[in-house]
Amino acid sequence: MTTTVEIKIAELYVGDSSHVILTNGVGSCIIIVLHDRLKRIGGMAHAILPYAQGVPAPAFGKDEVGRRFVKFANTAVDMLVEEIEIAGGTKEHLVAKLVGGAHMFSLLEGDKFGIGWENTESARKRLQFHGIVIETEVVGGTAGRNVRFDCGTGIVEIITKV
Amino acid sequence: MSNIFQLSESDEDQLRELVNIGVSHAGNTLSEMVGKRITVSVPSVTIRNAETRSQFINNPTDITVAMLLRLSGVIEGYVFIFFPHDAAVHLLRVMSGKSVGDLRALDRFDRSIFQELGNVITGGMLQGLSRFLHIEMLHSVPDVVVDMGGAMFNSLIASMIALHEEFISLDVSVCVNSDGNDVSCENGAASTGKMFLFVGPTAARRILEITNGMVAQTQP
Repeated sequence: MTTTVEIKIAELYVGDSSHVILTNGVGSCIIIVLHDRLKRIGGMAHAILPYAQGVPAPAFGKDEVGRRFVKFANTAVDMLVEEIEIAGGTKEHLVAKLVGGAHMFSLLEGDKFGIGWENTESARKRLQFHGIVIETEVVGGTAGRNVRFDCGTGIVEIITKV
Repeated sequence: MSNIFQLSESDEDQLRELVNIGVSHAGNTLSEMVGKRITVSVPSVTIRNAETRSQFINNPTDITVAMLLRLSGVIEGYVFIFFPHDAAVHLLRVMSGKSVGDLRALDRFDRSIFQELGNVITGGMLQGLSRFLHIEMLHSVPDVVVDMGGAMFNSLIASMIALHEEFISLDVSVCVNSDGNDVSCENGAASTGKMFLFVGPTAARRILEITNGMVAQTQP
């Protein structure tokens, strides 16, 4: 039986082949998906800002479902790797997928770069640091997205409405 | 996490009343423009940060029309106005006589109508606030976006958190089709637009300095 877990903005969840993780309303935030194909374990993080910038992230435990609080894209990658390894996955087997980082309001983010772009760059750099290959990216643009990830198959579905 | 903002009950009352003055001004202007009764709710004052990431709007995956304006002058911040499907379609019909079934089909002309709507609502509110506070308040040209309400809201929240660890949001409901003396909308929540005024700690302190000065002057 499949259990569907919804994560909201600034949350992270790791599950096994019995889990599907979904998140809605992805704008400039970056969705980082890591998947261990051999162990069929995966995780998703919905990070809102690019870097912790020296400020240690507040230590929050898991909620009753097992979701953790995560604010920054770089620490989200670290936490995902850590959680997947705790769940039995292996860092060397992980592949990544990135979704989001849109540029929804020109007023908020100027004409070229913005938080969406910075979030994507931060996630890319941290994944490179860990030696994790980015298999697919659906990033940038101006449209919001909903994301669904099957931890067993590693398939990521993206829904846009405009 | 401890709050950076330490708002007393009196501070919250002052902010709520202040925005109430502004939005009633905006409501009157909009009523005249569309020839319909417009009601606005008394705003709620919320301190928001990354940890209080509750859902701010109903049906976050529904397509909505949103207008974002940047505030400048003495008070800096953002005004975010959004109308769900029914309210947006209704407003468009009232203002241009055009019937649109799908908000994704809005053309440049339709979008300019919502841009004007954002100008009227925000301009009306700032005019009311400027007169009351005796300060200059300006707003940018509205940025009109049609997309999922939740995605737009989350993008805005991310930008506010990037600027300020915590910020105040003043949430106002704008009913575009209220009936008679009833403050509820004809189609309930579906016809209710929402307006959020986001300001950071510096702007909030500046407003409270002014209002506290006014309160002190009235006391014997």
